[in-house]
Amino acid sequence: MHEKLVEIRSLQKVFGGLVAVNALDLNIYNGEIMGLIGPNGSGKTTVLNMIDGSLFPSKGKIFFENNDITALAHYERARKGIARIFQHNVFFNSFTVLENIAVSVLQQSGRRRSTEAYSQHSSRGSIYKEALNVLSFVSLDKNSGEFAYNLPHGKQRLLSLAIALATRPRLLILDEPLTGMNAEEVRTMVNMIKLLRDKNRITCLVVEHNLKAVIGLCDRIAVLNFGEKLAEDKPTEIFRNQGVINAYLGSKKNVI
Amino acid sequence: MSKKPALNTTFAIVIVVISILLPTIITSQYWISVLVTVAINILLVASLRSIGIVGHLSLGHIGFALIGAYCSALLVMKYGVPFWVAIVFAGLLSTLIAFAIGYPFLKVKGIYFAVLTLLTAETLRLTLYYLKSISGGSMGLVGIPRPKHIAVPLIGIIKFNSPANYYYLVLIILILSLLVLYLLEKSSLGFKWKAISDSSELAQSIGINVLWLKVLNFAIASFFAGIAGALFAHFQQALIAIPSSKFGPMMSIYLVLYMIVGGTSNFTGPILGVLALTIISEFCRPFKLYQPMIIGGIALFIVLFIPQGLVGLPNRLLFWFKRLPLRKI
Repeated sequence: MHEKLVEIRSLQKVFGGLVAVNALDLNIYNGEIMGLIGPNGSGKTTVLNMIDGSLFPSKGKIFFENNDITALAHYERARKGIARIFQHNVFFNSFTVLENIAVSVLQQSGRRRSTEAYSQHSSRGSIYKEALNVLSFVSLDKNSGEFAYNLPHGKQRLLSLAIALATRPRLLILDEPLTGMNAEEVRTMVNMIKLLRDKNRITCLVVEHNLKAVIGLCDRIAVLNFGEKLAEDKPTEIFRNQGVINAYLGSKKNVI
Repeated sequence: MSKKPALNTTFAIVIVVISILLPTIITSQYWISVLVTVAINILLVASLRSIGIVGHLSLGHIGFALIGAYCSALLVMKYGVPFWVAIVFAGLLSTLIAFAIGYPFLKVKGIYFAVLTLLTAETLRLTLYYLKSISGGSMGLVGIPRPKHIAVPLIGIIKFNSPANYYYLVLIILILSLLVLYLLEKSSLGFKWKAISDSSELAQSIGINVLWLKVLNFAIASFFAGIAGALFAHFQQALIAIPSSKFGPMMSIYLVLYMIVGGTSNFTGPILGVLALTIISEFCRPFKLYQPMIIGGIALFIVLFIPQGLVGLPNRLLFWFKRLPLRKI
């Protein structure tokens, strides 16, 4: 439980003259749900981008399972087991829901057995079977033949999750997974993320503004402000921290 | 399309049979040589469409045909390499150059890639034009031999001096190439190419090596462009790299036009596009100066009213038919 999955050492990102992230040290342990919160522009998404490889840090190092991944490209990190759900809904729009998952499954399985014959339009082969399994996990199997852009927002978020899960990640990065969801959908998503941690032992890193949900969801929370880490603690402690209250929360009663 | 693969196979077989029978129906040497050009252009447009699968538009596809044409012609003329070896080398040289320029080029997106490819094709053409010792400059390269005759069991000796026999050679290469391109598109590689075209960001995040697959796609398409160029060189038996030649900037535009007019949704598109526009332009020859204008007008009409291209014509006709007032009576 307490071995490090991700270790971030004195990470810095500079955009022109702006220091977006500065001297950030952060550990994410195996099997936990880590929250990352902070005001807008505090560098949360930049940190996520540096972990999944869409941005390279100006300084500092990132370790994943004790390997230095700082120089690895985005796709190489994905292959190592870092999956990401983007803040906005992004899909393969010419594909059906099932094909969206299938391409992700294919990418993974292709690396396991690249010689397997495969046809897009035949349902044969283990790929579609596995894709359907992932779909039923997020209970979207009834929508498998639809196009992703026709789904309602909540289901689109679930589909994003399913695409990420099909890569069989060790670390799942969720960038505002609950945005725009109603209470019911939030509950479903939160339970699903918890289930992933408990059953599939997937470590999660969550950026989210819905603080009520964050408290219920996360095992530990780190707070960013102006690109620096303000605090890192259990949820209950975080919301008592005076520095955090001043910088982000405003007043206690807004939160709970 | 996915619903009726049997129908598609039948359709493909019918097209192949018709194209085999064509030289027996059309006896005019001129029209057979038009057919050869059509076949070569279909190969070019089909491979151009293949680049489109990853979501890129190349305006310099003809540049790779240029490489293939000169490579094959020079190998045969200067080094006495047999045509059958030279044409493979022509494809491979195009592939090699595509690999080399693919890495920097495919990092940029959309219109920038299109402009880069256009400039590359022009640079290649001008470079060859001014390398007079290789290309003959404004005199051009003449006397490129046709492939030597081959002996085929059962059929006997085939000579490629007649346009009809050369047409069959081009046809066989075209069918094989289209088959390879088709299988590639339907393979898992093609599936990933489409995924990249939809969202390269998401493709990266599920572990697809986007840049490599794009470069691979570009290189494969360039291979077929190189082959097409070589076929053209040995058919025309003369090459020249002036702007108004086959390798000028207008040809790049025409290739895109063929592709758009035909439609990009499947392989029938390039065939229909090239056929339709070639037939129209052949019949517009009496109008001389106005010929490009007529073709442009027809292309405009198709883009505006049949956005899926000629491939989408049956669906479009059905759509129009349903809107006819007589249905209501």
